[in-house]
Amino acid sequence: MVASSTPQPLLRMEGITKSYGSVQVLHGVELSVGRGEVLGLLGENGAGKSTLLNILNGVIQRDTGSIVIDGSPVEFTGPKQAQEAGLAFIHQELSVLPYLSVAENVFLNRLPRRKGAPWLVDWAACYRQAGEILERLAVKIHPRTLVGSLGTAEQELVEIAKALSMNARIITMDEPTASLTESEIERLFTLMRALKADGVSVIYVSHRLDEVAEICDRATILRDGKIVNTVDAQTTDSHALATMMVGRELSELFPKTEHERGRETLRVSNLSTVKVDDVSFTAHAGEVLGIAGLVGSGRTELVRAVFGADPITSGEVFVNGEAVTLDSPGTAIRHGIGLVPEDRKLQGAVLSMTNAHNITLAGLSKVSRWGQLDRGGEKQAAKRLIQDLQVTPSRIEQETGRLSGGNQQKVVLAKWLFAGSDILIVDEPTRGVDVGARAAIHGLLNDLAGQGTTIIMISSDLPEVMGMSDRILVMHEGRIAGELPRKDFSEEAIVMYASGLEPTTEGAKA
Amino acid sequence: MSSLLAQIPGRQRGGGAPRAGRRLPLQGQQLALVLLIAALAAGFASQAPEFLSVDSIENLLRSASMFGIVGLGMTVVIISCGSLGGIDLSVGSMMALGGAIGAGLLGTAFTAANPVKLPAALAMLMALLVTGLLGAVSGLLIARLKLAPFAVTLGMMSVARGLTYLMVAFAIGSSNTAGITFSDPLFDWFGLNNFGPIPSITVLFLVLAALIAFMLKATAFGRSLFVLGGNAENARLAGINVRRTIVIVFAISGLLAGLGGLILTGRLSSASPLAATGYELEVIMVAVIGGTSLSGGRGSIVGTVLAAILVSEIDTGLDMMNVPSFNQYLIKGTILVVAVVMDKVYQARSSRMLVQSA
Ligand SMILES: Nc1ncnc2c1ncn2[C@@H]1O[C@H](COP(=O)(O)OP(=O)(O)OP(=O)(O)O)[C@@H](O)[C@H]1O
Ligand SMILES: [Mg+2]
Repeated sequence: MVASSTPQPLLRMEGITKSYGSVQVLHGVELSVGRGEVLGLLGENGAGKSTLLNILNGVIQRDTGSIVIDGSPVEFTGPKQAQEAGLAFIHQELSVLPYLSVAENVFLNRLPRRKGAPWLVDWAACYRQAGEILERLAVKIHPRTLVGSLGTAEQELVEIAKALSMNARIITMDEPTASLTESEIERLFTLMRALKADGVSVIYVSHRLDEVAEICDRATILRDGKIVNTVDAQTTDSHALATMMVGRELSELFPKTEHERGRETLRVSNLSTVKVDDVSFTAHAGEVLGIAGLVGSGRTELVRAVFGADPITSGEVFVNGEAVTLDSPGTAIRHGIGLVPEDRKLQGAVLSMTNAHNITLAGLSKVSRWGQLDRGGEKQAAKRLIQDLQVTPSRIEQETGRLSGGNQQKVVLAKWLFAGSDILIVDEPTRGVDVGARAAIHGLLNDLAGQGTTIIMISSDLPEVMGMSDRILVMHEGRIAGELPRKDFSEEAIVMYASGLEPTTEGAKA
Repeated sequence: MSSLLAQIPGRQRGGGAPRAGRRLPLQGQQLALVLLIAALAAGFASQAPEFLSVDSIENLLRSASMFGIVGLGMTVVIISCGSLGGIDLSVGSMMALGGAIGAGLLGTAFTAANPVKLPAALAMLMALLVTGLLGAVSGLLIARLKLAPFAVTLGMMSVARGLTYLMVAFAIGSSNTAGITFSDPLFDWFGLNNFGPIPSITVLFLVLAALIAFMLKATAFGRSLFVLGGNAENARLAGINVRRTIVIVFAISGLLAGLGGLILTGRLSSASPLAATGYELEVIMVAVIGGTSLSGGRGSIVGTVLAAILVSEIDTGLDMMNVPSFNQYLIKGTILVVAVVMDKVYQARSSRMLVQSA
């Protein structure tokens, strides 16, 4: 790809400010995107990226500033006006409707009509067109599937398909790849390149900095609601980007520390569920066990079954050598198992509650005696975790729903750290978390392992899962396709196993 | 075209700059209730001066305490099950049933047809046991079979009413719609007794309110009710026993409705099969006007206490001004709808803010 030399701007945002109450989150932000350009928008959690994109797409209103598209100023009073002006928006949090089909979601409120009878929906066309878009994304989802029955990543793909189907001039993508694996990301990038060629502009938010050089032309860096710099994405390395985002030198990512692998804490034998097929594995004290695999390969379903959140059709689970019937998450928690789920909005945090209450939610017995809460102790514990995980703003009385996406994720993680599980399962623990905090989370997980906790980590981010794990299980279509010890880690081996192939690399055993 | 879009919280009304991201402190809402109570008192008194007489105020407190006690149960149900559409429509019938059992087991018409004659305390205990159990049955159906609380408690409303008829017929040995009339010192304590200037049941109400407020704020169980109301799947994944919790809250609601029924019976010195008809409206009003959100996860006992006073004030005031009862229905219905709309507006605004923060 050639770095474009600031083409004629299609979109300019100038002097944008926005305050929530007395807190100003955007301070005179300037930004421009050229025709056919992909602009990366980078910044720490809470920097104001989503706020800026929400303003651009008419979801919220700015306080001051102007937006100019194609030379003429625009004023969007709502998302609909923005759509009509040729903007499409992929939200950071899923906004798909679970009880509608994939096709209905894609064409939400723009359902194709019958020729000659425009008051009737042309369902055949609807399903056919949705199928075509999904095909371009190389997604194997039937357009008639109910969205609610899909996993998080697949729902994200539906979200992307929806934005692509709008034939927009400017597409804003707020962390579209946070829950996707390499292969889906590759597809998305291929499509984005095609869009570029058609002159479509894209604003792209991601915390995966290596993606920036791959897909973006320029990158604008936002820190604490101010623009720090706009750089050529092709010639700036990710270390420099991270330093600009954070405003200081960063500690090393994936600070893997070696510790003794202890006794066996978890044994899963021949476990099957609707989506998991005869899986057996063990995990040990002090070990970080990674689980890799493509979206839909059954990773999430496997750990949910182990946690007692989904019913098991057959198989057994042993915790510390003792057979346990995991019929509910409550039972799993009593056996010392914790699960940080992949969907923070529906499963992770209660958005209407405060940070302190969210954090203690899975370990209420630790801050209560005879059922009575020790609210002072609760506050202290919450305060400590909020500092450790660098949640900003760091007020424990803050409603969790008012935090930025990445900060909500940190609160969910804090909840399970507080519950103090012996076996901690984390499903995409750093999804949407910025580089600085990501290092903090990795450090914490490592410390826990050092103290003898068993960590089971699902991650779609290959560098992360390879950097953190002692051992990796790779899943393919509900089965464990391969197991790799740390010395045999390689991207190729994981990708091969994940696609159901045998890696040629020696030493890897199936 | 916007109907589908409207289902996405926060999407529908992009226009109009959203208010500053801080919600009204509950104190503000409660202050509004206090002001409203005072304003209405002034208004009613100017129309009917006897509104501020000792008798009238005592009467108002009795009725506020009765609705308030049942309203405490409703508040707990809505806070914890609101996200599942939780509401208890059976409270009116449960009140009638509680009263009928309490009065019916006293043996006022001690005949061959009715060989039961229990001391009043035991009769009351039986009443509470039965209504509490029936509440638990509702809870069990909702939790186990995942039925809508609305439908289950609507059914229970009819079942409890039927049982009330049976109980009254059993007690007086005939199946006409006449009630059980009786006189009993313990029931009088509920219905007529005062501690100084304050009705004894008002003291009971305040004690119960304090207990439930303590439970909600300061116990692990109370916290789990807010979690469940905020997000049921989340509660399950946090290890909260969702089914048991639902059964318990509906049992609490049934029990408190039974207690409200005993109070009503004590005030009237009679238990009729038609007693407390339509009272679920007042009780739901008490919870909702008090600031308990029908979507669950939010609510306060102080609000419920104030709303109980407000609702009874409206009842008493309208009665004194001789407003015909059909007009009273009209007025109260309107107030309930306004309260629900206000809750919705608040919800829409805060969920819009939640979307923005994502
Ligand atoms: N509704 C709201 N009320 C109050 N503050 C808010 C609200 N929404 C966002 N904020 C604050 O605005 C700031 C910017 O948030 P924003 O969601 O734009 O961050 P972001 O850059 O998208 O972060 P992330 O990478 O975590 O998604 C944060 O400090 C956040 O707490
Ligand atoms: Mg964001």
